[in-house]
Amino acid sequence: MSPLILAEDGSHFDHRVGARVHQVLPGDHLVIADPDAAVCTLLGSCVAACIRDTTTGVGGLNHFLLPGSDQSQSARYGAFAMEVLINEILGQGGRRERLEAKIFGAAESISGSHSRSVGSKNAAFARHYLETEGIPVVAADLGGTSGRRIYYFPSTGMVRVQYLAALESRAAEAQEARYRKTLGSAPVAGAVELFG
Amino acid sequence: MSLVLAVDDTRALRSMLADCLKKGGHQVVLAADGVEALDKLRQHKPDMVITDLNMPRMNGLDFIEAARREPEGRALPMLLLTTETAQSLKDRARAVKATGWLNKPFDPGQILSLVDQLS
Repeated sequence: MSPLILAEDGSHFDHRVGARVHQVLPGDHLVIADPDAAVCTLLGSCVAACIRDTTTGVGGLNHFLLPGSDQSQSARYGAFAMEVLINEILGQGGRRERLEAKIFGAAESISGSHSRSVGSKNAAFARHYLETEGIPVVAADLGGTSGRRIYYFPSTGMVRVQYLAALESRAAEAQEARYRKTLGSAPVAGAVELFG
Repeated sequence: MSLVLAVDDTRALRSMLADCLKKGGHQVVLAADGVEALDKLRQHKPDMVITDLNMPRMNGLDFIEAARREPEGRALPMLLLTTETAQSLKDRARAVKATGWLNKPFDPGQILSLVDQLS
């Protein structure tokens, strides 16, 4: 394998799509305003919402999961993941009424490390949230038993989906499982500061 | 029981906040941005405000600043509930006389104990 050479902004050239690519890890998100670059993430049962402003081409994706069996706690966490992505797009000049979304991921477990419903819960949350906020979902590729590698080009809205072979799917799943574990041990709440 | 004005441009967040406050026995008035919130403040005279920061038309900081000039808002507890973490924004919140700052995602227990403590 050739060594990965990272540019100053953390991107690297990916020969699979012939473009500069920014990698997003589970629990993270990224918004770019670069017409030539893509945002990429590796998905197992998690969901990525790819959102962009259709006029300015500013956009990006998040990579999230609903952390637990407590439904309302999970929904607050999911809503947080969606809001930080949308706020950042709006902060870079995006307009809410011009946003469109594509959603991916939510594979069922290959290794049996989680119950069948985990992926579909994540998918249902993303669909419901976007519908509530009036953001049209113009494409979706969800479920199945393979993990996915997503390349999202916010400037055009184009997405390249690669289905992962079993070995890579398991690796994606393991990465998400580690992320789920860190969520499990941390309280789902932010800090409070009262000004005196 | 308190009357809480909850302000957020995200529908999902408004409904989660309303659920949480109602379960705690409080009454809730909702607004989607600072302009609507100022109207609701004058109209309903709430006991407390919980507001998002990033919103269209009028953001949470500008809303608090404007609300402090209203008789209904002069001494009202007003909390920001936001995804933002920048110190410069917290400094601005302090300058416009926000009561406090909470980061999302929120914990219902924490929200309810703050409402009990402040309102």
